[in-house]
Amino acid sequence: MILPPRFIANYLTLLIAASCFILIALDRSGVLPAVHTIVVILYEWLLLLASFALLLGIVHLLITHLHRIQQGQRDWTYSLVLVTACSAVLVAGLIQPSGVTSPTVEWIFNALIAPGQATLYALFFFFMAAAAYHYLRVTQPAGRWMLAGALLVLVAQMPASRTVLPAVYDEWVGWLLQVPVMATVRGAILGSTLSLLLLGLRFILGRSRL
Amino acid sequence: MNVMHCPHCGTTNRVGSNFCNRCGVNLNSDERTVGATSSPSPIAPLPTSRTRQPDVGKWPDAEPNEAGERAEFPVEEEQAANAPANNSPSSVSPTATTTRRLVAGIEGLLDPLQIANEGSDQPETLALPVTAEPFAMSMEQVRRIRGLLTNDPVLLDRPGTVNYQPPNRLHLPWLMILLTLAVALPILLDLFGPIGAPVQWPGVAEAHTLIDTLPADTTALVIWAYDAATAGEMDLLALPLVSHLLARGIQPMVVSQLPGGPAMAQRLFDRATAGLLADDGVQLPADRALAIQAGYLPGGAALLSWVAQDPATALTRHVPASATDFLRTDVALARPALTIVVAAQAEAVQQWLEQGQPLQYTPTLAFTSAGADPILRPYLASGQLSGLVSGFDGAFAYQQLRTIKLAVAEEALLNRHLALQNWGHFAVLLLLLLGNLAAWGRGGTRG
Repeated sequence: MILPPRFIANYLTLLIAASCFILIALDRSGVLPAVHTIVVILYEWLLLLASFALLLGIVHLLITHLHRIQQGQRDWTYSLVLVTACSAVLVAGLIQPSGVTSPTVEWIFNALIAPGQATLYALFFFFMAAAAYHYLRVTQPAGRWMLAGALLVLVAQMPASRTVLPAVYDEWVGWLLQVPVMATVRGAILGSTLSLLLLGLRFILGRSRL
Repeated sequence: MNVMHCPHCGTTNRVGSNFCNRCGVNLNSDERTVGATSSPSPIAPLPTSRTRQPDVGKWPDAEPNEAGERAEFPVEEEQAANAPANNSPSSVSPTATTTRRLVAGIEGLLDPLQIANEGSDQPETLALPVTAEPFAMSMEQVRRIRGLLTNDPVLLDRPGTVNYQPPNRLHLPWLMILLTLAVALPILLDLFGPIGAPVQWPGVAEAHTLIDTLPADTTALVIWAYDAATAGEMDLLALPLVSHLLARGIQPMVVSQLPGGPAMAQRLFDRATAGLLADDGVQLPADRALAIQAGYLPGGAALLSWVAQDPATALTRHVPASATDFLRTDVALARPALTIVVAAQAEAVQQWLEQGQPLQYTPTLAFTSAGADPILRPYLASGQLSGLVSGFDGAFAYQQLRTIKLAVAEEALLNRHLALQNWGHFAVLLLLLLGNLAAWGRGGTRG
């Protein structure tokens, strides 16, 4: 009997996943210490795979953008900037003996990458401020509760409020955070964890597909 | 591409799909009925009932009816379908009812049945021609009826003009200028100094006490889970921690699962070391490395189990050769006395608590951004986290608990951020006030 390739691929993948699941479960539970050596080998394979995937991603990125530059596609200049920056960092790390800890690479990181990333992330504040201005309003149907919660926590976190408000205010906000908010968060965590567990089991048992 | 059409809504689906992409109906149950087509035909043919030849015998598998006769293949059903005008209740025999129940739903699923002819050696194949039925509807008709029954109704008396109210203008440029000025001007002009102090939330004192009571020369595993994007907040938080660890003589073993994490960690350790070296009251160990930078560990959360079980093996895959010998020979490294997760996102802490901590049995501290605090606070209450320090509030409170000060510039930076916190919160409160005043000014219920 000749099985179709798709059938073999699907069930082979399922078999590998289930085997890894069983081995790691046995190792974590401590029931069968002998499997630890096998599990360590699996971890090492995972390490290799992840490293290779990272390299593959970089190569694919470069090939894609080099192709865009070669074809003169739209916004090819951005691709040129990307390839140039990538090459510059790579060369700076390779030509110096200290590698990633070389002064040039550290300067690139400290003077270019870190401020650039921080600046992009800081723009998030303006998005948040615009959203708060637009939606945290008492005239919004659900905005009153959200506004009340935001005001309570904002005032409690404001350092200057320590000099004005009594200490019981902090205790009251702390109770709100510790009891109702925490109950909600616990429910969300438990619910999402259970759903993840069930989804994982369904996937392993072949009842769900990606 | 081979496609199949959903028997319920007619949507084209890939052959082999279990459920319809649009309506979610189980396609496997009707797979044979609908069948696969190799062309994207818009409407699949309806399954039609098949008729048998008049001279063919009875169905061998049919159960005997009440009269002791075997039910025949739906002759009566076929007759009823072909002559609807005569289909009165009296004209439908009990046999037909029984037969319909027996074969209903499987007529279209069965392959042409072969029945051995008792009179000859050659088996005779039943010819089952497809006949048009007066009751048969096209797929389009079926789809329309189902659409009428399932979709939202369309209002025929819908007003011709809709009273559309345009959304409020946000005046975003002015808004952002106001925000920037509210924060920047007091800082640049040094109008006001730091006022007040941040509140000390639960978890900060516990974290400080735990580190303060660790014996010197022990090892602490530090999982560095932030990079340059969130360094503005996280550096403030991590600097007192790293300074405290180094001043106590605890050797951090730093590993990161972010590509930019090791560089951030190295930068911060340099700052903390410089601050401690400037303090005459602090003696740093000279016979060993202050910290072990284990570098970048790819592989995601799955490898945290390995790090927890066997850090000496897991982390020596990446460390420089100079540190490898130490890692392999140091007994304390096999079981770090403490694990500290320095993370901008709550997921990094959760992953360690789920994957690593149950295998390591050591206390875990979390130093996180303020945004991660609400998600992680239940873990502190349950005891999975031994301490939680989050946001600028936590950083300031943690540093206040220490007896050793940071470098002068770092302390000045911390105080400057205290003033920034005040003005930032004030700006946001002002923003909320303006937004609500604008909403009240319009007098409507829309935002």
